[in-house]
Amino acid sequence: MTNLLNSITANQNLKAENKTSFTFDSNGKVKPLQDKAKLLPPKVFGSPIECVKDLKTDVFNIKKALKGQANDYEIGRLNDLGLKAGSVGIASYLYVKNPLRLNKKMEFVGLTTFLGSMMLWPKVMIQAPLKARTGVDFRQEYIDSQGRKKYLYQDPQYVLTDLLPREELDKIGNKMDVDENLSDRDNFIKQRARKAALQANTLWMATAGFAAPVMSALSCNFVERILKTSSENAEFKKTEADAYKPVGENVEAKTKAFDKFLGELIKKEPNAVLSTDHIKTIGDKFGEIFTSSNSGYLTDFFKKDLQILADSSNEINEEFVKKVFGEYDEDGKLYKKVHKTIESPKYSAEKKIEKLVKTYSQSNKLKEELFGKNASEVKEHEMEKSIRNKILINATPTLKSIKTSLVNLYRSLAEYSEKKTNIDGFIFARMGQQNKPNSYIASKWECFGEKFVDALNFDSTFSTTELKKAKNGDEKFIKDKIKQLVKSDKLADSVNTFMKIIDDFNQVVKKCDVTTNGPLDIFKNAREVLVANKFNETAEHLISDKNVGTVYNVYKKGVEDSALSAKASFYRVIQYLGFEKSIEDGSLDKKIENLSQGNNIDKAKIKKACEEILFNSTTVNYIERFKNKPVNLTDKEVKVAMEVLFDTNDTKMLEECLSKDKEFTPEEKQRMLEDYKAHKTETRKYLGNYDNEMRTDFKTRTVADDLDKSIQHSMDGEKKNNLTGKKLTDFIKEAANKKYNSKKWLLFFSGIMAGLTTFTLTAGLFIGRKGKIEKQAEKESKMSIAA
Amino acid sequence: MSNILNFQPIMNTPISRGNTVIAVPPQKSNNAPVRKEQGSTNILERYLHNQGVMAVPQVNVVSKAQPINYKNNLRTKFQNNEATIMGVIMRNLGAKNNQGNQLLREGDIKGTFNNAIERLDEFKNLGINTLHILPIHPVGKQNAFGTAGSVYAPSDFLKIDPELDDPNDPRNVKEEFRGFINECHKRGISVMLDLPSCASYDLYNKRPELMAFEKDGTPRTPGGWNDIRMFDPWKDESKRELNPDLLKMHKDYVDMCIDLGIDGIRSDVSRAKPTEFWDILIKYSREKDPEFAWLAESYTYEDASPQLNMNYDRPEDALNAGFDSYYGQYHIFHEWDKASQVIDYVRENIQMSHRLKPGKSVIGSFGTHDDISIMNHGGVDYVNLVSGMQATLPMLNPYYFDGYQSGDYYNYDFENTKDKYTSTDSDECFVHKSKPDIFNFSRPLIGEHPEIGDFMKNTLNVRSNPQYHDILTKGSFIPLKVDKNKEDKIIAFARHYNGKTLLVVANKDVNSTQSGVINIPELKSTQRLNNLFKTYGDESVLQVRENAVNVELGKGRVHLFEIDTPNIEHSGLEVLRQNMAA
Repeated sequence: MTNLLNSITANQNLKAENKTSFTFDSNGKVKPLQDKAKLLPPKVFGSPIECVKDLKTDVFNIKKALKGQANDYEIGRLNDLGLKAGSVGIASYLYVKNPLRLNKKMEFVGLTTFLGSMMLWPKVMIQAPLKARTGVDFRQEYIDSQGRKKYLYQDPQYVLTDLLPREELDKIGNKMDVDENLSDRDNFIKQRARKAALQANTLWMATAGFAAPVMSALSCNFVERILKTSSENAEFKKTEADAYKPVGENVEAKTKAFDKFLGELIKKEPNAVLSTDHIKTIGDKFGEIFTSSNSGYLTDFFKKDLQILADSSNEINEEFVKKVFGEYDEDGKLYKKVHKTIESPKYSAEKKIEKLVKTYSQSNKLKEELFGKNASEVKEHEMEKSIRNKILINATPTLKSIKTSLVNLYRSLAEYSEKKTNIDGFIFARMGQQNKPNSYIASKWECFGEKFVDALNFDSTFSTTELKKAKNGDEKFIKDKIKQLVKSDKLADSVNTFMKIIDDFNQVVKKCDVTTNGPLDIFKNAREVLVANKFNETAEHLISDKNVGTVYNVYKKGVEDSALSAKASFYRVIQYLGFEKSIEDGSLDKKIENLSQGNNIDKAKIKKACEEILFNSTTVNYIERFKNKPVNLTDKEVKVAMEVLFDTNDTKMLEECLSKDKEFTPEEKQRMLEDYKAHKTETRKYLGNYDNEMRTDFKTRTVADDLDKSIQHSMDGEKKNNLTGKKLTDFIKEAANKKYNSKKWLLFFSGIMAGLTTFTLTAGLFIGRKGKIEKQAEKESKMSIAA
Repeated sequence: MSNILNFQPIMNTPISRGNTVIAVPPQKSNNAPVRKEQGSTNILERYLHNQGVMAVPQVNVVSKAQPINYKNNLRTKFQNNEATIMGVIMRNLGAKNNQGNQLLREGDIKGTFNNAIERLDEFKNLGINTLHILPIHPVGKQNAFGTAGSVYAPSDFLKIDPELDDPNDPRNVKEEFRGFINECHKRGISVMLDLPSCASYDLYNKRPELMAFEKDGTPRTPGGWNDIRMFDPWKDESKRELNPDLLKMHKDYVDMCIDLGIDGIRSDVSRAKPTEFWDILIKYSREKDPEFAWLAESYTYEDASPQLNMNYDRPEDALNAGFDSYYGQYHIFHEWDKASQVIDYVRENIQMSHRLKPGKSVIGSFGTHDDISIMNHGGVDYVNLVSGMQATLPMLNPYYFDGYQSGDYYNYDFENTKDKYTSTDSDECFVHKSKPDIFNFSRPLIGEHPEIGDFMKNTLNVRSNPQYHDILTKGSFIPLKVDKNKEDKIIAFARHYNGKTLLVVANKDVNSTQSGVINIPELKSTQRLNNLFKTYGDESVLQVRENAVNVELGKGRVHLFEIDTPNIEHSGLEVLRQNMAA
C-alpha cells in the first residue's frame, strides 16, 4: 500500500516532466504503446489486390530463398506457393494434353475446387461454429509489424492475443463462461483462447486431408454438369469457326516452296522434259499435300495423270517424224525403217524414240547440220545423244513449259488439302473419329442415353438390386422388363417419352450433318481444277458420280454411318417394343406366313433370330448374326427376317402410341413417324440390297479397299458404332452402370463427407471446453478472491 | 597481500547425486581475519561479528570508501551520447590465473572488488567512462548452470556476492564494492549495475509471492534458462495492477544502488516487466537521484515473444517508460549483408527518437556478453571496423565488453567438462560457446591482440577530442550515395555540426576490397583527406574529385576525414538529426 502511495506521489512530482505528447493513463502512468501489428477483418475470400500483393511477396521470397537469405516465415510461404504453382502446373499440362474443352476446363475446375475446399473446409466446418460458440476465431489473420500476413494462432508459442480488442476478449470470456470476477481474467481468457485455437488447428489438420479431396470431388461432379452443356456448345462453335478459317497463308507458303522446287529442277536442266523420275518426284510432292488431308491414296492417281500428260502430249507419229526429220529424209527411206515401230500401239514412246535415234544417226545431212565442220570426227554416241535431244525437245513437254500449270494446280490442291484438314477437325469433333472417340454427338448420345434409361424407369421404380442386374447386363432381366412394359398400360407413355428423346436427338444429329451442304463443296471445287488441267484420274477418285470408292463418298459415308449408328441405339428400343407387341398380338406370325410365300419357314427360328439381332447386334454385325450365331439362317430366311425388322410399313405399335399422346402436334407426330421409317430404310440400305445380293463384307467395306490406309479410320464403322450404336443390352447395361456408379460413388463420397462433417462438428463442440487444469485454476482464483 | 584461492577438492559435506559427488561451495581462506555475512541470524552472533570487524586492524586494504568530489552525470552522458561503456564481470575482472589453466584453481587469484580496481586505469586509458557491471549478487546454488552459477541467477537481490569479497580486507563485501565504486568515480568512470530479470531457483523457493506460475502450478521458466524462474510483475494483469511485493523489492534494490553510489542500472531483459513497472521504478530512482541512468536490454520491436514464457520486446515502450538508452540491434551488424542496412537502421533509430522525449539513445551493442566474440566475424579487422563505427555513428553510446580491447575469442578449454570443484549443485563447467563465461570461476577476459585496444583508444580519443566531439555526438547524420559499388558494402556518411563536417567511409566487407564512388556535394577536388583513425590492415586508396571521392577500400577498413563542406546540410541530401536533449 505504502509503495503504491509512494508511486502516486512520485508520479505527481514528475507530472510536469511528463506532460508531453506521450501515452499516459489518467494517473500519469505510462502505458504500453499501440501494437504495430494489426488484426485483419474476417473475410471469406481475399481481394484480388491482396492476391496480387501476396504473389508479389512470394516472388520476392523466391529470390531470397535462392540466395539462401529467406527466413522460416518466407520459406513457409514458399511451401504454399509451391502447392499452388505445382497444382497450376499440373492442371496446365493436363489442359494442354486434353483434347476436349470440357475436360480442359475440368482440370482447372479440379484445381479450383481443391484449393477452394482446402480453404472453405476449416472456415465452414470449424471456424464458423467455433467462433459462434466460443468467440475464438482460430483463423484470425493479422499483419505483423514487418507487413507480413500471418495467422494469429499459427504458432501456439507465439500468439499475439494482446492484439485482441477489449470487447473481443470479453466476448470470448463470456461465451467461454469465464467468471467475470476472476482475478487475472484476461490472461485466463487468452490461455483458453489459445488452447481452443490449438485444438481447432489440430482438428483441422486431422480432417482436412480427407475432407478437401472428397469435398473437391463432390464439387467437381456438380460443376461438371453445369459446364458440360456450355462447353459442348462452345466446342461446337469453335470447330465450326475452325472449319471455315482462311487457309491462304499456308497455301501460298506451300505453293511458293513447290514453285522453288520446280525452279531448281529446271535450273539444273533447263531443257529437261517430263521424265519418269520427274513424275515420281513431282507426284510425291503432290502426295504430301494429299496425305496431310487424308487423301493420300490420290497420289498414285495423280502420278498416273502425270504419266498420261507425258505420254499423250508427246505422241510420236508420222506427222511428228516428218516435222522433225523431213528435210533430212527427202526420199523417205529412213522413215520406212521406222514406220512400223512408229505406227504400232505396242511400243512405248521411249522405244519409238530409241528407234528414231538409231535410224536418223545414219543421216550425214543431219550430222553436218548438228556438228558442222567437225561432223566427220563425231563419234556415234555423240551423234545419238544429239538426235535424242532433238526428239525430246520437239516431242515431250519440258518442265519449263508445264511449270505454270503445275504450280497453279498445286495451289488449288493445297487449298483443298488445307480446307479438308480443317473440315476433318470440324467433322470429327461432331461425329467422332477412331483416335478421338469423344465427339459432340457421342457426348449427346451419352446424355440422351441416360435420359432414355431414366424413361425405362430403372432409376425410380427399380430397386438398387434391379439396377445392379441391369448394369451387369442380365439379358433375361432386361428382356423381361421390356416385355412387362409391352404388356403394361404404360407402354404408350413410355414410347412417347422415348420418341421425344429420339426426336431431340435427331435434331442434334441433323445439326451435325455436314454432308448436304457447305463444307464438302471443297471436293467439287478441287475436281473442277483437276478436270480443267486434264488430271482426270485424280478427279475421278476424288469425287465422281460414277465411282463409288471416291474420297468424297467414303468421307460422306463415314459421317452418315455415324449418324445412323447413333440413332440406331434408340430406335432399336422402339423396334424391339414393336416386335414384342407384334408377337403378343399375333400379327408377327401372320406377317411371317405372308412373307414365306408358301415356303416352309420356321417361324420360331425367325423370331429368335430377330430377337437376337435386336438385342445383341450392333449395326455392323447384323449379317453375322443372321448368318452365323446363334441361328444359322438360310438366304430366304434372312430375307424374311430383314422384312420383319425393317418393313417401313410396320409401324403399328408406334402409331398407336403416338395417337394417345396429347402433347405432340400432329406435325411432330408425323415427323417422328417419318423419321422412324427413314431410319429403317437407311439401315436396310446400309446392310445392303437383300433383294439382289446380300452384302457380307461389312467389316472390311470393299468400298474402301482401294483407299489409302490413312483414310480407313473414317471407315472403321465398328469401333465408332460401338461408341454410339451399341446393341440394346450393352446400351442399357452401360447406361444403368453409369447410373449405378454415379449413385454408388455419390453415396459413398456423400457418406464420407457426412461422416467427416458429423465428426468435425461434434469434435468442434469439445473445443475450448474447460479442462481439469482450467477448472482447478478458476476454482483457486475464486477462492483467493473470497479469502 | 593478495587473496590467493585455496580451494578444497572435496568439502566437508559432499552432496551425493546419483554417482556424482558434488562439492559444496568453497569456503573462505582460513587466513581471513573474520567471517562476514555468512548467514548468521542470531543477533548476538551478528553483534560479535561486527565488533570483530571493527577490531580488525586496517592493514592490506586495497581501497577504502572515501568521500570524493563526484556528481553522478550518467543520465546526461546517455542523453548526449557521451557514455563510453565497458561491460565487466566482477568474478573475473581482477582474477589472475597464475597456474595457467583457465578454470581458477589453488594458487590462482579470483576476482574481487579490490583487485578489480587495478583494471580501472586501463579502462580509463582506453577512453571508457562508464562501467556496466554484470550482476554481483549471491548466486543460487540449486538447478544451477556452471560450477559457480550464473551471475544472472541471484539468490538475493539485496545482497552482494560474498565470493567477490577480498578475504584480506576487513571491510565487508558491500563496503568493498562501495570502495570500488569510489575508485571508479575518482577516475571519472560512472558505474552502472546490472539488474537481473529473474530469480534463481533458491530465491524462487524463498519468495514464492514474487514468482510467476503456470496454471498448473509450476513456476514459469524463461525458454532455455532452466536455472532461473520468472517473476510475476502482475497482481492482476487484466486490470494492469502490479505485484506490490516485486515492486517493493526492486525499489529496495534501487535504494541499495543509490546508497552504494551506483550511477545507473542496466536492466536485464527489460521486457520481463511491463511498462508501468518501469515507469514507477525509474521515477522512484529519479526522485532520489535525477541523474540516475537506466539502460534497457531491449533489442527490437516484436509482435510477440519468440521465447517461451517471455514477454515481447518493445524498445519504444521501454524508452517511453523512462529508460535513457537501449541495446538496439547492432549485435547483428555482421549479419547485415549490405551497407544500406546499416544506414536504414540508423535512420530508423533517429526517426524513433522523434517519437520519444529528447535525449533517448542506443548503445553500440556490437558485442555484449550475450553474443559470441566479435573476433569470430572477421578477426582484428572486423573489430577495428566496429571500433570505428562505435565512435562515429549517431545517437550511439559506444559499448564494449571486457576482452574486446585485446581480441578475446572467449574460448574455454574446460567447456562443458566436469569439475569436482564446484560451489553449486552442478559439476558441469557449463559455458555458452564463444561467449564470456558467466557460469564459472575462470580466467580474466584477455585476448592476444592488444593492437585492437590501441585502435579503439584512437577512435575514442578522436571522439572525445574537443575538435570533433560535438560533431560526433550531436552532429547531424547525412547518408551519402555510393555509386559503382554493386555489392553495396561501402558505408559512407557525413556527420555535420556548426559548419564542420566529418566524413566516414568504411568497407563492411572483411574479406575483400571494395571500390566505389562516394558522392559528396560541395566537395572540392582540392580537398585533402587526412585519416583521423590509425591505419591497420589492407591499404585503402582514395582519390578526391569534384563532388565525389573515388575509393578502393581495404578489407574492413574504416576511415574518418574532416572535410570542408560547410553547406552540406543544404545540398539536397537527406539530413537526419537525433531528437537531442536541450
